[in-house]
Amino acid sequence: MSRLTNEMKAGKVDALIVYRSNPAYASPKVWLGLADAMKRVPLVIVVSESEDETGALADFVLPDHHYLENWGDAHPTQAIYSLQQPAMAPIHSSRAFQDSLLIWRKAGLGVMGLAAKALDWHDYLQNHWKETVYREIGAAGSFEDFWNGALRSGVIDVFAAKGASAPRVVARSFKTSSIGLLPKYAALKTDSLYLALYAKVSLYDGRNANNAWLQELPDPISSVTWDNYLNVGPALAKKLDLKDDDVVEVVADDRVMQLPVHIQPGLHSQVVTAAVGYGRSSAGRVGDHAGVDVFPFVQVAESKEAVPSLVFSGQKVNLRKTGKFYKLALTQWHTATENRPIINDITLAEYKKNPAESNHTDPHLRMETVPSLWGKHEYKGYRWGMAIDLTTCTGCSACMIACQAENNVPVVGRDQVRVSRQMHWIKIDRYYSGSPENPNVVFQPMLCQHCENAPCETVCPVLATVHDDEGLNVQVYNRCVGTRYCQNNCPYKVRRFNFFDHWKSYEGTANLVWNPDVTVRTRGIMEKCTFCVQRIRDAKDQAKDAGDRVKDGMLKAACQQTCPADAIVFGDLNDPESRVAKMKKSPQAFRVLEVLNTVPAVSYMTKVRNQAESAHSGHGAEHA
Amino acid sequence: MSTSTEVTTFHPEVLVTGGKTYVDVNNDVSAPLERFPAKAWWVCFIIAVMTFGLGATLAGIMFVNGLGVLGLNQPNGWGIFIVNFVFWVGIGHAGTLISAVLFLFRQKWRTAINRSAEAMTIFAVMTALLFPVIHTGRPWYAAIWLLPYPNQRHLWVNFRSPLLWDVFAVGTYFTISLTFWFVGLIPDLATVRDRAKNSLRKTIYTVLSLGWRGSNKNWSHYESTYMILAGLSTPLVLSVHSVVSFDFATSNLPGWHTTIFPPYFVAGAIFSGFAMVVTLLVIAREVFKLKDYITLNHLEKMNKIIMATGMIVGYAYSCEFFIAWYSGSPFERFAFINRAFGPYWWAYWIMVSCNVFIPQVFWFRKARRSIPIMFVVSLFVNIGMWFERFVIVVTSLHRDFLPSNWKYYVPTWFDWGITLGSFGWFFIWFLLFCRVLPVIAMAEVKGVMNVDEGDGSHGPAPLKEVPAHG
Repeated sequence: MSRLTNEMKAGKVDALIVYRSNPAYASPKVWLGLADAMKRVPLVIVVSESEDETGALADFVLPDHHYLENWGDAHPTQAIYSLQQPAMAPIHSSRAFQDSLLIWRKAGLGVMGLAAKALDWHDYLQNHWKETVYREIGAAGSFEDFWNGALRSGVIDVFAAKGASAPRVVARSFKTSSIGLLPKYAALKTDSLYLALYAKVSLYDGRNANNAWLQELPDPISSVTWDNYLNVGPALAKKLDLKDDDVVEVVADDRVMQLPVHIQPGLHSQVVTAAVGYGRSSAGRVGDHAGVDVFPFVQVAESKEAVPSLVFSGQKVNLRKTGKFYKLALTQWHTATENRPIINDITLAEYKKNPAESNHTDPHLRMETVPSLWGKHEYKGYRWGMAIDLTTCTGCSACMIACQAENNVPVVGRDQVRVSRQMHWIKIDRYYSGSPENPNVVFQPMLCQHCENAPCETVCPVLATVHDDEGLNVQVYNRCVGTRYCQNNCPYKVRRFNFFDHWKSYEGTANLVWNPDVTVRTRGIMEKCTFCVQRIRDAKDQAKDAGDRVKDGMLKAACQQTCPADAIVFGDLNDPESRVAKMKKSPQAFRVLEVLNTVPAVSYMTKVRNQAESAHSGHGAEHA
Repeated sequence: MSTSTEVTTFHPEVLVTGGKTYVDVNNDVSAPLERFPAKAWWVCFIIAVMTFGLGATLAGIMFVNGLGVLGLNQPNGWGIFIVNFVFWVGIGHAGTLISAVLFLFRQKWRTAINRSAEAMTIFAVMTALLFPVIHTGRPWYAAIWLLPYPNQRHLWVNFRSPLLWDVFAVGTYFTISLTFWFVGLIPDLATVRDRAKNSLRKTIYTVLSLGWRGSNKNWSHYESTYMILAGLSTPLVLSVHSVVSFDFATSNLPGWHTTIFPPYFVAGAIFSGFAMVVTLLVIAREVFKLKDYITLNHLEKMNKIIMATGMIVGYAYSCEFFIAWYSGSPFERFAFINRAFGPYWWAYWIMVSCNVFIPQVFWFRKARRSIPIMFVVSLFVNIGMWFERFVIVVTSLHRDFLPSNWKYYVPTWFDWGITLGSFGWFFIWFLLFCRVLPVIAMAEVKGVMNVDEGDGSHGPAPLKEVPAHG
């Protein structure tokens, strides 16, 4: 990168084509003097699917297809090939970059007086596969059959197809030279502060900044949305007298930035961290001016042995209080469980001794079976339920986005998150325990528990939330008048009220995100997790057509489908062979706030920590 | 005035001072109805209309945009509007208590204040009823769908929901109170009719007085009806606020889920209702020159009730803490410790100071009989009772079961503006009432006067001046 900019500055570059990359934002552009360098290039072509900072410096911007509109392939690892097939026709008058290249090639050949066969990108790709993958795999049938088969499965595993028995080598080579660029720990002065920059799971390097779902996705650790901030460890915050939302100036040599402070338990007292990907200027309506651009703090390390590299960590910085405040939009303000029967976490040793080991031994927190005035619900057909494994959940929050996409959950914006009106049907609660310097963390996906004795159902005056005969707690949007009594009486507070007509903020093609199987809700009504009732309906219809019951595994909730750790299992509790029914019977299964006798349909599996000391000491400590 | 005070002191039976005759009663009470409103009234009325206008405008903006303009959030599903609802229903308690319960107990001193207390009840309930409707997300449906009307869609209401019980409880209370009040007005309306000189005025009061002639038959029907309605109203005094308290008591939220709520709410309602009556009467007797009818004796009795109910409320506060501890439930214990020492500690201590500490000044007779002191105390009691509902609604919701959901609640200008507007609405009605209806039950006051004895300075009232219907 630095070599290229040097050549551009020297006038050695005649034309620059930037394909799906945004160096004018996501690079140490100030350090490199990229804007000046680009001005010296006579022809700058940017191929992009949306406007960005680099496009603003280009002579031509070529609108590329969205990946859902385009053909493509990938070779993620050894012997694995995958195909990308368009899921929809192009919405706008865009053209695949690959088509542009082929057309330019033909035109170029034409200029040289050579005839060229007109190929489009799809044919080119197909030919390429015929020459490479088809040949490599040595399939028996025709290429047509092979191609159609590859499209159907989406993936070709040459290794497996050949029946090779040798272990697959999947590790990627690691550039050890980059480690040498980091400051040596021993050399750090104990009173200095160092900045570490990181990319968030949601926005990554800023390419997702104009995606409102991802902007509003709370950071799994800090639970902050819509902004980046300076993470400061609790000890350092105490030393510098910093509080959450204080704006500080971060100074390194000639560079200065102002960031609000977030006090982060577990962070080393000599390190402050901030996320890249924020503070974009030409991302679009959503991403512009959300947070602060910290890329100017990325350095380029030139060394003789190694290729010049970008260095994100280890810069010495100073902090200065500005006296200003900036209110970060958090979704969780209290970080301890206060010793309540919410989480069960035990160590591996305890688990081995007794898998049913429980943190909460207070008899007032234990469920007792007492006679009830009310008859129990009968579930003659299906009984839907869920089990969530706290040990495997990493808090990545993919389930939240999956749910948002599936269930038309609207985005509310920074100001509404500040007053706690985010609409996520499933959220990731994060609790700390132990010392603030080195806390234990537990993530808990929290969604409607579909209680058997649902407190919300009894209090609705118009019967807008009722229990169905398959164990679902259903919400009748048309009937809801919005008293919010159900929300008050829900111990889990998983009900979401539409304070405004959020759908009105969706303009133009943004309306394509709505799932046609799910109602878009108006203001003034309550909504919540439905266990993806539209998918249940669909699975039941399919099973009925086949004259069968819905089999385990046929039906997946959106959160479950997307969970990379397979921590969420959903299914029919009336089927003793279903995974969820088996998990519910496991000694590890517990229910949140069981003492209230709400009898949730969602069970959680005890978190087992592979650590020596007891993990469940001092849950009551408050860190934030 | 000084001599009459002496008289009252030594002869508690004398409920009307100043040596009034029956004609004086008619003249004094009807006077505000028969003259053009004074400047002070217009000033008050215009302020009330403007305040209501502010609230109505803000509510209009809220209807167009959504409830998001308020301070409500995810754990705090209810806020200032429900606080106002409970507050105004509470205010509405004193009227029926004074009219019905004191009537059945033959407390004759009630005659001086029952009319205005009942009016206050009706207007307070009218104000209270605004809030449950406008606090819903879709008030245009809520106003209808909470009523169990037969329909072809087979939609029905949920009889397990305390909100539905509220509809019945408050609806019944309003209907009975209005009927009781109107029946009590009939003889007085006839007096106003008989005095009317303007023909339109005469027509209106003729219609309103339902053909009252003051005959024996009239009186006998009237008195039995009045007695029956008093009997019907009495259980309602207890039921309305008990049912309102069920909104909280039957939920599972720590701080709401409490069996003490029904009596505690009723005592609190009487407490705040009496305080509001004192506030209004102290002004009214001054403005309308009714000091001989609404005497210091009456006010002192009210103050005694305020102090007694205030102590019941104080007992309930401490009892709640004891039960929270005694229950052993960590959720309950936390809810109450959080109430007094959590983020809303200021609201809790405003409540305790205004409701428990300040009314203790009424142990002193001087304080009970001092207009400035009782006026200030009555205002404090109403502030305290408003905060009591705030403490119950908000401090319980803002930190409930899962700490991940905890969030502070901050009302917005819409919350405050619409609250202010509700006071405007209440005072518009009260000010109109003062101009068009007799603020003191003339017929009943005449019944407790001892005109024949007089106090010596005026002599017996001439018999011919006693109106046939009085």
